[in-house]
Amino acid sequence: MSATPDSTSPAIELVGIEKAYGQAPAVRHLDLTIAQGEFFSLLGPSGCGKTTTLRMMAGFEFPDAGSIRLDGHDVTEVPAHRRQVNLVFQKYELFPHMTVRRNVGYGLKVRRVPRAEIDDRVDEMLETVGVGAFADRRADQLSGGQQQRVALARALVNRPRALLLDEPLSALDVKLRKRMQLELKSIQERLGTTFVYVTHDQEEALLMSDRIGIMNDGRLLQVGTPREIYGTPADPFVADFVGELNAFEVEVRKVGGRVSGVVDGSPVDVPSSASTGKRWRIAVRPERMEVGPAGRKDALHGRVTELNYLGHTLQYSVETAVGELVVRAGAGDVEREPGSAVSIWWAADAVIDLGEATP
Amino acid sequence: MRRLARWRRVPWPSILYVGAVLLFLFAPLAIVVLFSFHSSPRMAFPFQGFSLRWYEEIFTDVEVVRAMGRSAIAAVTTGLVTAILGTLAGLGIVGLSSRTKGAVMFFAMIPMSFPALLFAIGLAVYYRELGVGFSLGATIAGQIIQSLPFVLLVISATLDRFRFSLIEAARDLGAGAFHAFRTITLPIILPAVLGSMLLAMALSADEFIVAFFTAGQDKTLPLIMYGRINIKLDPSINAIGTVLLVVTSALAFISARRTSKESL
Ligand SMILES: Nc1ncnc2c1ncn2[C@@H]1O[C@H](COP(=O)(O)OP(=O)(O)OP(=O)(O)O)[C@@H](O)[C@H]1O
Ligand SMILES: [Mg+2]
Repeated sequence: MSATPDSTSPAIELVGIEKAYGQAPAVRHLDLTIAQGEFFSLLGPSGCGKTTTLRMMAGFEFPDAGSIRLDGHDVTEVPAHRRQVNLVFQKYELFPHMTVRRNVGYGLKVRRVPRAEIDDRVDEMLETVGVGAFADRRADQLSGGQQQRVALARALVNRPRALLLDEPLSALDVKLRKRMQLELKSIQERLGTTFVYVTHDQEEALLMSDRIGIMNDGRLLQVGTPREIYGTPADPFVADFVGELNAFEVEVRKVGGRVSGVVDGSPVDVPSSASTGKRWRIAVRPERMEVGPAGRKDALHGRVTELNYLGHTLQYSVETAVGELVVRAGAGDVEREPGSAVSIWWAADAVIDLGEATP
Repeated sequence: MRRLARWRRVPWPSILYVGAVLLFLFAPLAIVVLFSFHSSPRMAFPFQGFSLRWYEEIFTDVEVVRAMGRSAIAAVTTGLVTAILGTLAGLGIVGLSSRTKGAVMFFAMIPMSFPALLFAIGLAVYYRELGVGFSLGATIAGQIIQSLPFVLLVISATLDRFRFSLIEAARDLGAGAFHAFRTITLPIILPAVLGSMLLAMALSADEFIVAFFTAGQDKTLPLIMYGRINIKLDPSINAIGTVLLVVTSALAFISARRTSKESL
């Protein structure tokens, strides 16, 4: 509580965090620094340790090893009610016996903020999140989306040094979820509060975040901007988890003085790290692949097995020498019927390096 | 209108059956209430007219009024103590693993299935061994033991449904453990606590067996009634019975309303 905001330190630092439940490790040697005012997402599959990490930041779980700093102050041992961060729970956890206004004012009242100030700040925050009209309703008489907003207001009204959100939109329907994603982002930008956002929805993470941390099996695999994560995944898991992927192996050879991967007799670009004489795993995203008439030089050849119309895109399944590839093209492009022979190619910078193939 | 339509769908044998049950259940009560207003001491038909003479009699009868006072003290004390103990026990039990919890609840429920007569006699012998005199206090202690399982049952069922993540939300907003309990847990379980307290009060108000063996000179209302039936069929017991009936059914009614409102 005595911690004075110090904007020169990172908002949150996790150093060498280990956490196990009994024998089962939930978080393994995690280092992470989150900057002031950043929208940071933790993304990973179910059970990878996202919630555990967030709860350690909130002070509901304590690491077995490592330390946690908020604004440069060590809070590793500080319990939740004395940390200047607030958590938005996945199931909102609004107090059902209180009105919206009392829910939102709860934290301020606990901290003995004067009555008049509580009223002002609560009203202002209810307007900010767009539930001013429901201030005097009981919290259990709201729709899911409204409850979500109240939960957000209840946390933000305390002006936390960081706001922690655990899959806050997962209970909403798709349409509302999309709208709330944009709204959350704009509220975050307006208030300048550091957000740590847990999700297993990669699209959501890409859309909202300044930076994303990808977790799997208790480990943080890569931290980067959405562009970095999507375009240059550090690791096969990241590449596969974020976005769709066509992964296959190529033979690395010197072709006409250049190191190339050879597939089906045609040379394709390989990462600069690839060494000749080895088999290399590479990947290309479906939307980075181009599909055109058969017979093109320096391309893969295949036959369309399926064509799906997705509204804004055409999605092809193409049978090739390296297996079935998924290719996406704009809906305005020439449609290639199932059965027709096609060529598939891609730009050099579309290649994602997955390392040497293990035999 | 709606309600009537719903009744029509009930087959007539069911209506007949329920009617018969209600008749056998409530006819004796109805007779007690009716004759408590009878102007004649004769407890037989034909009914000769209404009067409040029996009520006048009991409320000016020092013995009866004192017994009412004792019964009220016993009911209120039993209610308060069992509500507090039941809440504390419930909070202690709710966090246990389901196996331990099952075992604890099993032992906590024993007084409910134990024959009241044996319990009362045992209690009397025990008091005598300890050198504790028979008194209202001795009776209240016994009634508390008897009604605690009912209270615990209601409260622990409520706590089972309580979302303890709400407490985490309160802690996250800066509340200490006790503050979170006072502002979140307690208000949410309060209807069940009050409901079970009223239930314990109703159980105490017409409790007979424990009082019979342990009250000594401090006779409660049911004991006074029993004494009067024994000597001669005194019509004033109809009035006492009616008072008791009104109090206990009011308590039970409010209790049922409170606990069902809570479970919404
Ligand atoms: N209280 C607990 N006791 C024991 N094990 C736990 C506990 N909480 C989490 N775990 C385990 O720790 C691991 C990480 O769990 P965590 O809840 O952090 O995952 P998550 O990434 O949030 O998953 P999800 O996307 O499903 O919410 C899991 O294997 C989980 O089973
Ligand atoms: Mg989780």
